[in-house]
Parts: sequence; structure tokens; C-alpha cells
Amino acid sequence: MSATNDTPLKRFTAFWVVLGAFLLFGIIALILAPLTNTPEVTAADEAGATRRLAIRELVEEEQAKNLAMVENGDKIQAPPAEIFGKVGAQLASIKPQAVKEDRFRDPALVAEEAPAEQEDASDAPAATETAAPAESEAAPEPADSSDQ
Amino acid sequence: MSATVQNSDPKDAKLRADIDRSLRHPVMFFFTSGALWLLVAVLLGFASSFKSHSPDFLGDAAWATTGRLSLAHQNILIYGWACQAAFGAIIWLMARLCRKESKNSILILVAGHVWNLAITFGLFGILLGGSTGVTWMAFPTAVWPVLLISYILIAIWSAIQFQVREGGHIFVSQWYLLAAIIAFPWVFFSSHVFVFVLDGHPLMKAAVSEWYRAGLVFLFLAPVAISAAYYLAPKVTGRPVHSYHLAMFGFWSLMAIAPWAGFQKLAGAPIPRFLPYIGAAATILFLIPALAVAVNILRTILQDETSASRNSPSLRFTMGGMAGMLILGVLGLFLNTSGTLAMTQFSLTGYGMDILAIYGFFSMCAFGLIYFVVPRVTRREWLSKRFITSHFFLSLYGVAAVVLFSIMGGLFQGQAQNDSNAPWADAASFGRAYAVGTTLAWLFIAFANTIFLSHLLLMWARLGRRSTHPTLLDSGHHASSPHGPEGDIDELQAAKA
Repeated sequence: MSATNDTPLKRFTAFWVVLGAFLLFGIIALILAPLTNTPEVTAADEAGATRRLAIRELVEEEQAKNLAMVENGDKIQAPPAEIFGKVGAQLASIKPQAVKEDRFRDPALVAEEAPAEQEDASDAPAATETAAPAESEAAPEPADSSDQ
Repeated sequence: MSATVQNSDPKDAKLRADIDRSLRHPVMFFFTSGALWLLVAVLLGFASSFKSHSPDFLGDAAWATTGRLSLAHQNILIYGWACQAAFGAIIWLMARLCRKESKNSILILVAGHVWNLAITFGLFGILLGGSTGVTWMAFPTAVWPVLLISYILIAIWSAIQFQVREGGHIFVSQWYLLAAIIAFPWVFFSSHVFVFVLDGHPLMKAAVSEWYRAGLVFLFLAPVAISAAYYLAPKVTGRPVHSYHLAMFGFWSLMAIAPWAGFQKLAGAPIPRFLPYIGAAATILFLIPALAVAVNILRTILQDETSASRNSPSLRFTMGGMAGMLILGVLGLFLNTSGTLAMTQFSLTGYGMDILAIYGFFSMCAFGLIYFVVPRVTRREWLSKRFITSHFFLSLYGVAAVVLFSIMGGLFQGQAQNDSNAPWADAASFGRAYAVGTTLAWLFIAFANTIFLSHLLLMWARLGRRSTHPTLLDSGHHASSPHGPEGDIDELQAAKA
């Protein structure tokens, strides 16, 4: 290379080459990513999402109600450090309860039970009532911590 | 500015002076604004560390929560200080090594101002609750395209200078600079596209953001720091680099290993299992290029029999940076084994390693380069060796304390977290004492950088010593100024006229 290596044309060409080099990796990522990403949403995904969103909505409504009551002065919020241990022990002592509403249940289980129930209805003269063990064995619900 | 300048070829000296003059404003702008952002970042680090063990500090204000302060601290440290110091280093080093004056200084300066405006907007965005929540990509999403365009307008000219350089040998520093110049947009652009633009799986976005963090450190900041070290060591000592082959080995091993690091931060997450293992292996293997570079640089410096290596501020900071790099490599080896990783994944340890990489390694090398470059572009010498010495020792002790407390505290914290028989509160209490120590250490670093910023501002205002004799850290007693006679720069200029 000689001193004549530095010409306006060389600089102009170098500008575009370097700019291309800078953006190359990102452009390759932009091109390849949609080809490799297959965002297929299955029916189970959607049902699960609906279930989770319904639970989230309920939780947020309850939390908003509690917050509103705290702000209005109707309830006093207890310091978390004083009650976490107590609430944790109460929660640990409660046995799991069966979820009743279909929208909160695993869609795959709901789908399994539906054909099984139809078969039973057609074959058996009378279906025996299944016990609801969770209800009979359930411990009382924990006291509302915000009442303390 | 040293005696050797006067003995070199006058045409060569004039070319170097012309290069320095053409880059005076952008280089000083990047170094000074970077130093200012460094002080801001350190103060934010102090505040977030204080808040972590004393939540009542700064009251209940939303902007003063630990989360926002910590995000602001880390992002300002990276983009406000580290990137701007790197820009100043890249444009000056490449111009000097390619022996080309800058023809685009005004554009670089404008792009630098845009970068700073974007950072300011990003900082307020984080503090006012508009952050993205992604650790080193926390600025509001509107900021990153502006940063990318600013970077292109800053760094592209250095790559063009390399293309049109005069023929001859390509220096080791130039390899690292070119790698850094190309790696930054690759890592930055692709990561931000995957995380903020493409509609991908959130877990993979988390993995990409961790890859980005490692890429920024190992593929951008580390090469810039190493290029500065490879420039300063032979320049100040007057000796060639100890081993060219070792330099080549260090470069290519870094380029081969570094792109794989980062995924180990998601060990245990539901991502493909090989990814965290690859990330951990790459982080462990970083020790190989670190050893190669450190041995090469330190042997070049320490074989010098003159007092240059003892008394040169640049070399002192560079040696500190090389030590930081070695410690980073060794700690990476021990902290990324599967047992230790599982224990420290959600503790202070990761933060300590980040600070070691950014401050203990990169910043120390950057300070060394700044102490070398600023007298050359301002044609003034540093005012006070005591300022320089204080900056060095306070930074060294401060960063050593932050790293030690964070890593030790993280290990104890992680151990307590993994003990399922003990309450979680124990893990938090184990880390508290170390968090207090970290807060104190940030105070020392803040003091160090206040001194540095003040010194740099005086140099920017061209209030430095008017002398061709460099400010050295000679601790001897002298009847007259240890820096040589004052005012000889005026005599020199008068003689040339």
C-alpha cells in the first residue's frame, strides 16, 4: 500500500463496507429468526392461557378491593414481618382442595372426564354420587390477615 | 510531551501533533463527559448499596427504590462511562496507529452529544419508572436505536482510517481495536432486536440479554482495554512487546472463546441444558487469553530497567488493569463451576464480578490511557502527582473492597439460600454486613473519581502545567520541581515560530 491509498473514493467505499459490516450480524438475525421461530399456539396453550388470565383477573380484583379498603381506612395493613410466619403455618396446615370451576382446571383433565361421564351416563342405570373428600376434610379457611 | 519526543523525527512529531490537534475536542469531550458519568454512576451505586441494607435512606420516593437506583447505576456505568472512555480510546489510538488525522471530528463531537443526551433521557426514564427491567438494557426502548446510530457515527471513521492507512505492519492494538469496533454493533444490534423487536420466547430473551452482557464485556470493553495496554507498555518503556506470537495467541483465543459466554447466568432455567454449560465453560476459558495478555504486557513493563514503569502514571494504572483482568479470569474459573454457580446464582457475587470487569479491569486500563493521552491533546501536563496517586490508591482499595465484599457476601448468602432448613431471612442477614462494606467502598471510589474529574476538568480548561516534562509519580525529594523546568513549552513554541 502507498500514500495514494487514501483517496476520496477509497474512503467512500470503505464507509459502505464498514457500515455493512456493522449491521451484518443484526440483519442476519432479523432474517433467520422468523424462519426458526415457530410461534404455533396449540389449543392446550390457549386454554391454559385463558385459565391463567382468569385466575390473575380474580387475584387482581381482590387485591384492588383490599388496597381500596386499606386506603379508605376500613382495614389496617399489618406489618408483613409480624404475620408471615403465622400465615405460612396456616397455609401449610391446609390440605389441597379440589377446584370446582372448569375454567380454573387443567383443560386436559376436563377433556378426559367429559367423554368418561358421557359413557357412564349411557351405560349405567344410575350414577353413584362421588364423594367430595376435599370439602369434608378441608380445614377452615385462614383468617383474613388484614383483619388483625 | 516527554524528552523522547524532542529526539524523534520532526516530521513524525509534527504528524503526531496534527493528529492530536484534530482529535482534541472529541477525545476530551468523551473522556470528560465519561468521567462525569462515572461519578454519577458511583454515587448511584453508593445510594443503591446503602438502600439495600438501610431501606429508609432517601425515604419512600419511587425514584429512590433499590431496583431503580441499581439499574440506573449499572446502565450509567456502562453507557455513560465505559462506552465513552472506550470511544475516546478507539478514535485516538486508531488515528495514531494508522497515522491519519481525523477529518470528521465535528461529526464525532455531534454524535457524542447525541449519545449523552440519550443517556440522560435513559437515566430519567429509569428513575421515573420507564425502564425495560432488563439488566444492562434498561433504558426505555426508544433510546437504543439512538445509541446505535450515534455509535456508528463515532466509530465508523476509525474503521475507515484502518482501511486507508499507510502500508506497513499492523500493530497488535489495531487488531483489538478493529475487533471491538465491529463487535459492539454486532452484539448491541442483534441483542436489542431479539429482546425488544422480535416476538420470541421470553426465556430466550432472558438468555440473549445475558449473552449481551458477556459480549459487551469480553468483546468490546476487554479488547479496548487490552489495545490500550498493548499501546502504552511498549510506548512508555521504549521496549518492544515481549512476544508477538503470544500476542497473536491471546487475540485469537479471546475471539474464539468470548462469544460463547453469558448463558451460565440462566443455569437451572428451562432453556436447552447445553447453553449454560457452554457459557460457564467459555467464562472459565477466558483465563487463557487473560493469562497470555497479562504475561505479555507485564513482562514488557517489568523488564524495563529504567524508572518508567515505577513512575509512569499510565503504566501504574495499566498494571492495575492487567491485575484486574487476571483476577477476573481466576475468579471466573472458580465461580463458574456447577456447584459454585448453583450457590451464587442469586446472590451478590454476580454484581462483584461485573464491577471487577468494568472498574477493576477496563476502567484501570482506561485511566492509564487517559493519563497518557490528555497531555498530548491539550499540550499541558497534569497538575498534581498527588491527585494521580490518590486517584490510583483510592480506586484500587475501593474496587478491591467492592469485589471482595460482594463475592464473599454472595458466597455466604448463596450458601444460606440453599439451606432449606433455615428461614430465608437468614440469607438476607448473612449478606447485610457485606452490603455495608460495599457501601463504604463506593464512598472511597466516589472520592477517587471526584479527584479525577476535577483534575481532568482543569486539563480540559488547559490549566495544566505548561511544560514538556511529564508529571511522574517520582517520590523523591527535589530542590526544584521534579517535573523539570516550567514554561519550556512556551520557549519551544517561540523557537519554532
